Amino acid sequence: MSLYKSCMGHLYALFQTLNVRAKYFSPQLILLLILFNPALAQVNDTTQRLPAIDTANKTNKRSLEDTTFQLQEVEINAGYYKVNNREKTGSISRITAQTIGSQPVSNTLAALQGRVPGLLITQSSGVSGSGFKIQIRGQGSLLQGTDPLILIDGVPLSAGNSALNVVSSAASASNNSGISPLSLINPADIESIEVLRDGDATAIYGSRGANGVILITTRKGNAGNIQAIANIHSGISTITKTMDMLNTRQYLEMRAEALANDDIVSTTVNAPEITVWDSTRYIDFKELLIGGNAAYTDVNLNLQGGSANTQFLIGGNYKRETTVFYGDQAANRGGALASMNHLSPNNKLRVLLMASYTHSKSNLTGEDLTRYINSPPNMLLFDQSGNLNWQEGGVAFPGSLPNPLAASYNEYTGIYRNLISNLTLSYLLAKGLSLKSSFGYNSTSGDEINLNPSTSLNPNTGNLPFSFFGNSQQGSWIIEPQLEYVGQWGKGKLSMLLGTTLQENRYSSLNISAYNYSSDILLGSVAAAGFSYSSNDNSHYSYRALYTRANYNWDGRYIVNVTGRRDGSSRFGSGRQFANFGAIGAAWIITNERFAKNNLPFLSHAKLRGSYGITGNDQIGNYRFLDSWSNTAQSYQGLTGLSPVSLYNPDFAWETNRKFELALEVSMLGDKLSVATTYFNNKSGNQLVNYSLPIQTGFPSVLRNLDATIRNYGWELELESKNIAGKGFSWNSTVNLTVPKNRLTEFPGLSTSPYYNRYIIGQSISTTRNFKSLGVNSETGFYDFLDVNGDGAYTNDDKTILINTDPKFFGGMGHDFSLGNFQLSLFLEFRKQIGFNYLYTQSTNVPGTRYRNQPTIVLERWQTPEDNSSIQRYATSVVSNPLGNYLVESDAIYGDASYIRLKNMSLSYNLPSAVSKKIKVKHMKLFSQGQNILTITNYLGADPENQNLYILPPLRTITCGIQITL
Amino acid sequence: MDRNHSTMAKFLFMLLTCTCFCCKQTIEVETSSNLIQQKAVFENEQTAFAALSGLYTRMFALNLSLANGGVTVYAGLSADELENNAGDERYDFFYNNALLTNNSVIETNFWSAAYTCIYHANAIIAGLEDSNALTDVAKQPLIGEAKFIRAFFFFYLVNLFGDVPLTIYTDYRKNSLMARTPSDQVYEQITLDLLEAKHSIAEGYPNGLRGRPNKMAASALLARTYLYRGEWQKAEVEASAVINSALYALEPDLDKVFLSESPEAIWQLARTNANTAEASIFIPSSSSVLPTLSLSDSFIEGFEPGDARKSNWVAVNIFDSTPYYYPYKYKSRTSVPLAENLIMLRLAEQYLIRAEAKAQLDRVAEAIEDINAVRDRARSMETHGTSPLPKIASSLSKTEVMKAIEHERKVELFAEWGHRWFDLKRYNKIDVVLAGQKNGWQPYKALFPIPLAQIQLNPYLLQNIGYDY
Repeated sequence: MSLYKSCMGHLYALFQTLNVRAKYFSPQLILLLILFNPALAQVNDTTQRLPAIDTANKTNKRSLEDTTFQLQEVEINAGYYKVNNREKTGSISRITAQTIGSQPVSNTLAALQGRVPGLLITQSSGVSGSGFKIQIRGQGSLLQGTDPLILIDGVPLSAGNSALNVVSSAASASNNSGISPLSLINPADIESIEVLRDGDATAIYGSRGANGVILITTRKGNAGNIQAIANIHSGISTITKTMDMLNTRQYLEMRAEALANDDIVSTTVNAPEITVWDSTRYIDFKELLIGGNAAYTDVNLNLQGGSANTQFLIGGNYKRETTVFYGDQAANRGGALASMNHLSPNNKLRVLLMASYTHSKSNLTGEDLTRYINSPPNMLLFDQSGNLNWQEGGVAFPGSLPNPLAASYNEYTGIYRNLISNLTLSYLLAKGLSLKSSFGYNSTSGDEINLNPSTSLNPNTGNLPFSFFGNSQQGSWIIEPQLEYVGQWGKGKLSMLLGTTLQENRYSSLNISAYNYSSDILLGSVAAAGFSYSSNDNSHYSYRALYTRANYNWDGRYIVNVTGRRDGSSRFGSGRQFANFGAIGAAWIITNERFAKNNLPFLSHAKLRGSYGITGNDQIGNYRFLDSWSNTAQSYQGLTGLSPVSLYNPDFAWETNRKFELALEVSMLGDKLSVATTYFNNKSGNQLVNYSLPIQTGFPSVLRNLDATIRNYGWELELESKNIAGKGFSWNSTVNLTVPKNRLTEFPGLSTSPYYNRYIIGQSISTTRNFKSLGVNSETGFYDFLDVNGDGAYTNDDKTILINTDPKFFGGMGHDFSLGNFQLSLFLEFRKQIGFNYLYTQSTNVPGTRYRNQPTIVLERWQTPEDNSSIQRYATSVVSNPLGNYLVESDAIYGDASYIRLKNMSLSYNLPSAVSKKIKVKHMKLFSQGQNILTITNYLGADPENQNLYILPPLRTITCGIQITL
Repeated sequence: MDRNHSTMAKFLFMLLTCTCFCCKQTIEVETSSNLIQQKAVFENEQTAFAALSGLYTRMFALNLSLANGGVTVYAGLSADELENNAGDERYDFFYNNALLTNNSVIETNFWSAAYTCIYHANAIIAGLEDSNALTDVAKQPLIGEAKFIRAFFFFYLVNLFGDVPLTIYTDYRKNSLMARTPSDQVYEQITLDLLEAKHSIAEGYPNGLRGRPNKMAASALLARTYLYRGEWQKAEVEASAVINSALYALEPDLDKVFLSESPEAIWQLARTNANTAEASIFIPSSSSVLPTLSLSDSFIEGFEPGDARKSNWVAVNIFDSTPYYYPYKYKSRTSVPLAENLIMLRLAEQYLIRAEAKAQLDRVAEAIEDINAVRDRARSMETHGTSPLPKIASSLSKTEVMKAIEHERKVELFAEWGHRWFDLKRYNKIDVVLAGQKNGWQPYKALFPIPLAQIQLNPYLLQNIGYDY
């Protein structure tokens, strides 16, 4: 490990250097990165060719693709059409099966972290199945979601990236989490993922493209003999990082000091931990609650093959993950994938059918146990009969001190099913003209139950056992007939596409809260409840579109791509349902010009491209333009109630998002080094937002258009290099870097709007105003803040410190080594940002508060006058120093949350073909993989990614496995 | 090239056809089965009733919110009534009168709870006024009921916070930028609404139960409003209307005053499947545990000897050899069996309102009769005591009677609806009384702070003087 650490240390130094450069940003940084790249050391050695392909790999087309460096041949899926990577006019990145397969993750989104420029994925919770926040090129909307459109083989995932569950569980600890729909997609079934970012690539998705598009393509069979591939791996997961808490002695000292500081005599009432509880007992709650080892097992079996005209693939998969929590919980997922391709003998009819089904069952605790790691360390957990304990020495635990294990006695079981199927038929009508249609269907359903047996309840509350039941179904179908024409037109190639989309989504859910069970035995039965409340919900969304694309490629030098879409959505009121979107993209392939060929021989490829387009956003929920009332859960004197759903505003309309980008893509030295630099500038206007309102209006917000403009702009850089490409040894590297900026450029009437205090024109929308913290006053021992105008009061005018929590830059760096039959890949994810430190979640629990343990960091608190400390003196409550309450509105709760994470390390060994022949397998591979292995950070808190001490941090997973091809 | 041209022609032709086919008609979707359009809600009486039911369920949706025990508990802690023994800091801020402007109870349980109900009432009023399907005869009682609820919430808002934005329409564009309305104007609206409610709601209860306010409930709240405003004559008239109504009587058994069938109840909030939030917070789970909140020593010492209210409405747990007294008016702690509703207005208060109004009008002898009506019950219940609670002597002066009324209100209406907190303010005694009992008492603390987050959402909403911001 010390070797790792020293390596990481060097990388961190590099990172710091970059940081300095980033301030001046610009081309210099790119140059710097290029200079750093060892590829330049190989400049003279242009004779080296692609590495020889291991004979053992020849039969396996995928690994052939993966191990070679073939930028020019790669066909990129742009959704409605495919485009040669070198001829694309838009911004599209591709992640392949190899990258995904080397990562032991259960959610595909985790495998994308740090891999794609402009794509920021943040894991909010480490609980199995929980969600991720996705942002493509910044936050363009003040308050609406930033979720991109997610399509699987052209079928929109009907739940998108929003949580599936209707009942809460350990997975729903933070705003962005809940059970993620993407957790129902088996990462091993994915052939490639394309991320569409700019106007040119996304405008064809019209209203749904404003936040970018993620296209997931599943595996297909290849022609050849039937091949069976088995891939089995298992390992363990532990938490990445959290904080050490005080032990019993330290805790009791803290409490005693706090009482002394506040001149309070400890009694059984105000300090039972000292006066009543056993002071020799010590429980390390961090270890007990979240310190476990989670087992991870993943099995994938595939059978594929076929003739030149017909190929098939069938596969099955199973995954089991237990949790790091106290108790026995596990998430199980099983699934199947089948796909079939057929091309008629006359080469006119093409059929493609795929179906994927996943069944998952999650047993989780009712709550994220991480929120209890600050329980007092000498708390008595069990009584003499082994039941959960709720008192000691006759002093009952108050409502604010639950037994931390109670949540593990609450059992959440969620069963989710997901079916995706797609049929694509295409027929060649005439030369160059084909008619094509896809028919897609996606259905997701969930059955959930959360049981709260008497064993988990505090008897002092008098609450009887209760249960929550949830049931939800959502389905969507999509039909997309298209006409495609490809032909020569003059000196160039013309491709045209015209299509229409018919799409319907339906959602329904049923939610039952059942209370007052007389016993725990019947908790699973609704009928056995003393009483219950139920509610249901259903909605229908209909969507129609007409879209077109025309692409003209003049002599491989000039390419123009025009896309357009007319969209109609049922989410808008009559007269506002339709809107037009479109984009134009152009590319100039410089290296195909005669002058470049003659004068710039070291360039193997150079392209300048740009695009401008308009996309929209209709992520607003259904029926919002209606003046609706709905049933209340409870009734009054036997009569059910009705309640207004929202404030009435029928006049909202489409928002528009204008995207501009300019990029230069260069490959040189026989493709040894490829660099792509992109500048993007997106402007979102006429924003459709949940406009915040003071509650005196009856609701906290109203859906309306807002005349504010947000600009997201910045640079993206991608670099790929073949540093060494020898016969026995090769080394390839990739680097990607994004330097994003967010600015609120216009907001008419800001000063008289509900946002007068929240947003600042010319600043990022993540920027907040804060008091200036003066640290701990060395006389009083309490936190002190700067009264800027000296008026003796802390008001908004004193909030002069602006803090921007947007990442300054982020990205990833990967290295793939190959030595003989060994392959090693390393991937680092890095992020430079300011975030909430641990004080954010500690704010009202000042060190010394009754029943609240503290991180060991508080040992450095202020004790006597003249002490210089960053931690205020121990106090029994925030009441003893009301100023402490301003802490959460000061700059003290922010800190450096930058990190470099060894996101992935994967080592594999291919058995020599001689050996595999002996044991009668075609090919065999042994491998070990690790995720989130090491994190280097100065962050003051738990994990710098989810930035919350009381939510489970991302997990570190290490596995070993074997892949056998028969 | 010819061949290409003809293919292109075909292509373009299809393109045109498609364009014509697509996208001009509106897209229709099925409506959701659990959504009703506002217009339809007020097209028939049944659904219009349901809109009111929804308003009542909203009132008890959150435990310890304004209309569901919140005023009782938090105003009781702020005054000299209740003490906090729990580890829960929420109570400390009120008990120590150390409220910060970002206090979440103030924002959620009081401000938001009140304004969401007020909006709901406004939406009912607007919906009914716009409805062409319902007759005036059907509409007016419902509008009256909604206005009663609106007045009820503004009454508490204006007494807890001082000036508050007077939102009586549903338009968010106007409401969102509304500044605080002077309390005189708020009171004018309260009076107007209650008068209309009194005029249009029937005297009888709709289904025999007292879960919805009737004409007398409007009079009762009106009597209290006039009392707070010093309009003694009007207060006396309204209180008399309630006392003289045949519907009510003082329940002779103190233990039965707060039961659902209490003859004293003028308006009850009938929670579905639960007894009161008050009982579940005040009554400890067993006789050996420390009560979360207990009555202050000064309050307990205030009971006269022989006052049965101390034995029947107060209970005690001995913990660590110290007695902790707690309110025991409501007696059903758990949710089964259902026995008690939250009493919003009751007759005893009307006697004390009338007594005070009469005393102020120099009808001292009549005032003493009303006080004694309430004391009689407290005396008759005390069976084993040697010195029964005496009647108020008829010889007392006006000043002495006023003092007797203040005492009587304190012991009759304790741990109910913040009466003590409001009385201390009304009688201008708050500074004298609380300065002696609470550390760091300052006169500005008589009003709760306006929630900071709300101020940050409305540039015209200003903070009460004394609070930081």
